[in-house]
Amino acid sequence: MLIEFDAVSVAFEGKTALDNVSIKLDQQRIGVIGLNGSGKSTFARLLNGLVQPTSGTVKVGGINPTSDARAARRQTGFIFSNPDVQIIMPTVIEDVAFSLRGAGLSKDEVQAKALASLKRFKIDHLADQTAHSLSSGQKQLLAICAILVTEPKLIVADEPTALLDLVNSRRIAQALLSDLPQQIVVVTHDLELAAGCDILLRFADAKIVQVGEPATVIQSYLAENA
Amino acid sequence: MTALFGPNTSPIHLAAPGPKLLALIVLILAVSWSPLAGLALTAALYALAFKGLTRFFNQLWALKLLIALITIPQLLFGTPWTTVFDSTLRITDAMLLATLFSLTTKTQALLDSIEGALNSKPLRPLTRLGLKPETVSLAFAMTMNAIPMIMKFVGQIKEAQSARGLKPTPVRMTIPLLVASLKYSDEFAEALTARGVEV
Repeated sequence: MLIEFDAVSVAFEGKTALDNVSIKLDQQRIGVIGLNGSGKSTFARLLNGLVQPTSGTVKVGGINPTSDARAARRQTGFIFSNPDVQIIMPTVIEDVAFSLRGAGLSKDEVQAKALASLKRFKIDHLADQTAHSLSSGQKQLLAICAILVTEPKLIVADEPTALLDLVNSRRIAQALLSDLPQQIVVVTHDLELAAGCDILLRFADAKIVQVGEPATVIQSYLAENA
Repeated sequence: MTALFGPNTSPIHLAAPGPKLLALIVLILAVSWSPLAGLALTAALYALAFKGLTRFFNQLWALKLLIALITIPQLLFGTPWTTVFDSTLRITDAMLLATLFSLTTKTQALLDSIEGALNSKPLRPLTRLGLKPETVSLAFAMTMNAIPMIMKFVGQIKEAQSARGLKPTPVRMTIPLLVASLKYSDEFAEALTARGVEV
């Protein structure tokens, strides 16, 4: 799916969060790195209309998330860094099933789809557990299941491993980089995860300052911030 | 009250959520007439649901602070002890019955019942007045979901204050808890939007 940014700027309360960004991306695994406050998360949030551009145009698969937010959110799943805030329903299976409300499916179909989504990441044994009682890694896997069940074309993950330990980070990285057929945009400080992407964008001072092979981009990022 | 539900096969667990909710309301009103008999009835319902009274006493113990908060000010203001006893017992009965309801009811089933009831003929006029059944059930789910998060914040704030040598008190905890809750509500709202919820 083609992601297009045409002269996109975003300002919040007079502060520039994104400054005249233009880029076209169609790679399968797109990584985004940069220091805090460099514009990475704003870039990610523009993809499903969580943030509106102050000027310029964003198009994702031909859909403009500003003018057609509903369609944009149907095609784009979003994973946040804090898995706690993504839990809407009390139990694991109910939270996944919640994503299918309004999909016109019967109760049995919803249950079967939700369970299949949990099975995919081997957390179906937790189906009846309280979602808030899960570990952070399990909660993040639950968030992925809750998004995948709606079969989005694009998944945007904003620092999905920020609150996870090494084992869980690798589990999430494996899920995002290898297990999913969807196109992925992952914003991260985890350079191991970034290295697994097909292309890496580096943000600094609200601009994209480098685009290229992950190894090259990471090398210059490390050199500049040594 | 959140997601306390545990799989079980007692008649109370198996009862349909709609009639069970109605029975809860009726019972809470009924126990007001005789709070002591109401407590005995509540204990009997717990025994039926959980094959024993352990759960009943656990829930009663969990309410100790609330009971103290209701009782002490009344006694301090000179309310006759019989009145204090009756009113405290009434509130305790209601809390125990409400907890029994959430312990024995799946959230999704309850939300379906709320939506079903609001879509039923007698209540349908309310939807014409702008009351959306799905919004009501979602608000209910969100309220239930917020409780463990707020409890988590309370634990974190207590720990942080203790680590800095402060004794956590309700007054000291109010502002940090408010800030943490507001931040959570902002992030939660964003996550809801990202999942396509439009209310």
